[in-house]
Amino acid sequence: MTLPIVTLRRCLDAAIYPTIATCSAEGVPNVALLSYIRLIDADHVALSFRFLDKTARNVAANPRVSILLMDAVTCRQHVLDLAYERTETEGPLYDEMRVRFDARAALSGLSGAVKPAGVQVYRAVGYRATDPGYVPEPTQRVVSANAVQLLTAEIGACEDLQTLLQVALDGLAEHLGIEQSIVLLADPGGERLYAIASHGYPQSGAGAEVTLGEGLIGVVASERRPIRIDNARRDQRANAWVRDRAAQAGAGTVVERTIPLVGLEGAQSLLAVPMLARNRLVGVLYVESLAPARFLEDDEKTLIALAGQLGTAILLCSQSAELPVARDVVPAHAAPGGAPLLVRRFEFDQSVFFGDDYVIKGVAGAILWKLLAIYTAEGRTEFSNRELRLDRSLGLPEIGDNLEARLVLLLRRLADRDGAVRLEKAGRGRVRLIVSRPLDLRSIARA
Amino acid sequence: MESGVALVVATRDEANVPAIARAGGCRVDDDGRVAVFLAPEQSQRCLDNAAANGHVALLCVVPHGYECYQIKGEAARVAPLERGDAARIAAYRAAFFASLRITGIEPAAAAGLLPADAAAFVTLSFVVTDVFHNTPGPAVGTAPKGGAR
Repeated sequence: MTLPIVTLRRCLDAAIYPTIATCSAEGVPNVALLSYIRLIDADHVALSFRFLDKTARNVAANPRVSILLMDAVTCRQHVLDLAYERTETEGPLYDEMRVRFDARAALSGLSGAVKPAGVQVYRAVGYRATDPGYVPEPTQRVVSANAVQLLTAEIGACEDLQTLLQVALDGLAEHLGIEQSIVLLADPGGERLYAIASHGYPQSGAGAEVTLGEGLIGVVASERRPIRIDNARRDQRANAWVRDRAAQAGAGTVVERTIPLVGLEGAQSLLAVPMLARNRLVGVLYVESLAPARFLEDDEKTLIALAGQLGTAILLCSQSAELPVARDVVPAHAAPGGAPLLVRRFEFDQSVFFGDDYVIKGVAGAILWKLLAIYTAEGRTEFSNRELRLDRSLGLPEIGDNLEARLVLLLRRLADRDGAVRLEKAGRGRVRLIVSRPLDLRSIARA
Repeated sequence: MESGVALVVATRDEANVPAIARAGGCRVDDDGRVAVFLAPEQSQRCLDNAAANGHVALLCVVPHGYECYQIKGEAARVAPLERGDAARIAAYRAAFFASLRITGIEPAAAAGLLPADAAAFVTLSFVVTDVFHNTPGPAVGTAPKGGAR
């Protein structure tokens, strides 16, 4: 038996309510929802069931099963007749299945609580579409190799991090029609990710943090594997994650010292892919859509390839050698008028507040404070990356300092706030501070 | 059960090879028998099996959140539609397709899942022997509140 692999791969990708029929040794049929089904090759299918003890017992006694599938994209219905061959409890098939279960468990805050027993491999013995007379409208998009090639060429031509992120996310929208995307970078400490750029949201959300191992993006980072959810609204756990995140982002309030991650309310399709370079986690590329089954296997593979290129490019841009620059000699500007803006810096976490509003903390907070302090003391508005890199007080690690990424983050965070203080690129390896109100700087010492 | 929940039937042949098919609605009779509507063009194997040995399993899935129940049956019989069944099939088809909206499928796109013509269906009726809670989760396989028959 050879399965129609192209049809079925897409179908299994977007299958909704797959159901499995089994039969006990005593001849009692059983029917249940199937939690996991993947096509291995033209003759084999992988299944996994949690909580379906009766199904598992029946398969142990009688290897034949029959599966009813419905394709969420074309609405075609298929019946697969399979015969059990073996169970795998390690290896790539098992890992892929486990990561998908882990993602779902993580979404409901139960990371690691439920360990699936194994993945079962079945041989195909029969296949038919149940609606032979029905020809659905083809609604499936095909990822064009030409579009991917254009995008990789554009990414490859970028020389600095800010441009790179802009080109990559604009390119996903323009060439692949993926309108909502977020890039998060791994903190050098390895415990968190922070959002550095996004596309398709009212705000960039730069600076929002995600803890490794928590939520969809956090699990992708800790497992270093992509996770795709085709129908979050149907999945209450994925749904809750999307809703909470979107509500937080939409609320417009900043809770203490955190920045909410941007999100689409009611997103149905979610795909998060790790960005790796030199076997190091650089970050996560996340895309989402209101349409169900928007990202299928081709999209997943395309994004995996792009995330690989992006990871390497981000690493290169972050480490790019800078032209040596002389100590900045820029004439002081005319001081702005108006009511002064109170800027407070809390030493204990390097957080910076404008008035009562939290802006940023950590290394990015230390950089902002340093720029503002020099500006206030000397009136200087241009700064070189080099002088920041050489400043030990900023607490940048000596290797892989991620300074470029911190500056891009700071620049976007200040742009999101659209306030009295902004930062912009001032040529290669330089940034310019734009201040439109007098500043009143106060540093709050550790208690 | 007579609303738009997804209905899937399983039967088995003399060699215990299972068969599976989608049902286009159901009817609960006064004598307690449950009848589901199956289109032979989609489910001939299921019908043949049930007629030969009488064993049936029926899964009812509420589209939102995967809540589901499994009904086991015996003494299955295949028969033509009765008076009122055509209207039941039309009503079920509309309700089921509408319930798929939550998964992003519009009713017009779902048209191929079940034949539009009620004349394409027959009934498969059976005596209920057990009802199980089948929602994926730790409670799977338990009897629902209110008791199983």
